[in-house]
Amino acid sequence: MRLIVMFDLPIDTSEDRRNYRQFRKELINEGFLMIQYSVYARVCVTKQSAQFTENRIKTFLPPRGLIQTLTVTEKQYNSMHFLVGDQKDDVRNTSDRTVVI
Amino acid sequence: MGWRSVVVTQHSKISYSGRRIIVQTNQNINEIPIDDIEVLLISTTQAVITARAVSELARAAVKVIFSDDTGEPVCETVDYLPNNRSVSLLEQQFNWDDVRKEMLWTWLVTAKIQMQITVLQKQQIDTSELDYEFRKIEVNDVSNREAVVARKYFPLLFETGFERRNFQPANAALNYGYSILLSFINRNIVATGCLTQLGIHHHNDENQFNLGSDLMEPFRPIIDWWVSEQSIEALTPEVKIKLIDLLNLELKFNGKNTILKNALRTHVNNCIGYLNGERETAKVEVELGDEISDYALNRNV
Repeated sequence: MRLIVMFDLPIDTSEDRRNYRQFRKELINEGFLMIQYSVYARVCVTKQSAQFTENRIKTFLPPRGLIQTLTVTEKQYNSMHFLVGDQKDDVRNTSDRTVVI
Repeated sequence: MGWRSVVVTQHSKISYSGRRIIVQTNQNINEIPIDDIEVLLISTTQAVITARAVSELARAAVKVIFSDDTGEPVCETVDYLPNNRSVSLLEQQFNWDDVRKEMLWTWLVTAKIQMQITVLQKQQIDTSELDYEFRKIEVNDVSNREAVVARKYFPLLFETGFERRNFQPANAALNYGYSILLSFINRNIVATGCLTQLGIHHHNDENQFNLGSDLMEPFRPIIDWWVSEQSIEALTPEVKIKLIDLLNLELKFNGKNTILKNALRTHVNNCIGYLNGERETAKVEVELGDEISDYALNRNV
């Protein structure tokens, strides 16, 4: 199961930019992977853990802008079409229970 | 709670940054969220790990297993977990009721022998000798049927003349599989706040994991089964990785479909709950699928 976070944040003032940087950094610290600019995804084992992660995100939201989340199943996520470009090759982008590095 | 086993097999540096474990190899940098990791197996001596990473992994209750230069697991981290190990809990463990200990050991041995018979049946091997010994089992296994069965079981499952104490590749694979299984059980024991040293049947001064050795018994035949299905010529990295992946084997535990590692967690909680007097039984019923194929290994969330 994947939790996808999509956002558009204002960068007009230096405070806006600071809020944006902080939000993005917190997302990465939560284990999210940037699958493209302003679109981040994370593997969650169950629906509950996706809900839990979403609740954690709610604790560091910036004051303004637009942030959306979407939860999709592993099958739906993996059936994504790449019209141009390729899938990110990263451990965080797989849901294998055993990872060999 | 973690769900991912991470195996490091090559020259690398393992460090911590921003709630992620960073594994830097010659080719690339892998970042893994620390909350996702259940076990970190370093199966090479070519890796360095920072103290910060070790301490953060301990805090996240991740088992870190280190290996020697042959890739055999040699030690593991056991964290103090100050928030769940209390004096009252330890006193409870030291005062576990003898009757309950004996009953639990009986169930564990019964389940183990049953599993051994199942494994032999799966390989279409005659089990009449084991069935005979199995019927003679007594409370607390006073006549030590467990050892008698084991002495007959291994030569039946592998070829005649097979001994557990020599250096055949199959033995190396079995030992590797058992140590992975044991460290996983230990991890769950530590998570309940109990000491791994104080077992119910195993009582060896040199074994730090007596309790783990007790509780893992019913699950050992799963490793035997897989190893007996392969023709192992050497303990190659592929074999090791398959053995680790065995933790994700789909099976039925106490009537519920699950994967091996979750079954182990439930099993440890059941046993310790029983010893603490919180529950009246700790049944161990394992049903295996037809074969261990890649299909049976549940690779995805």
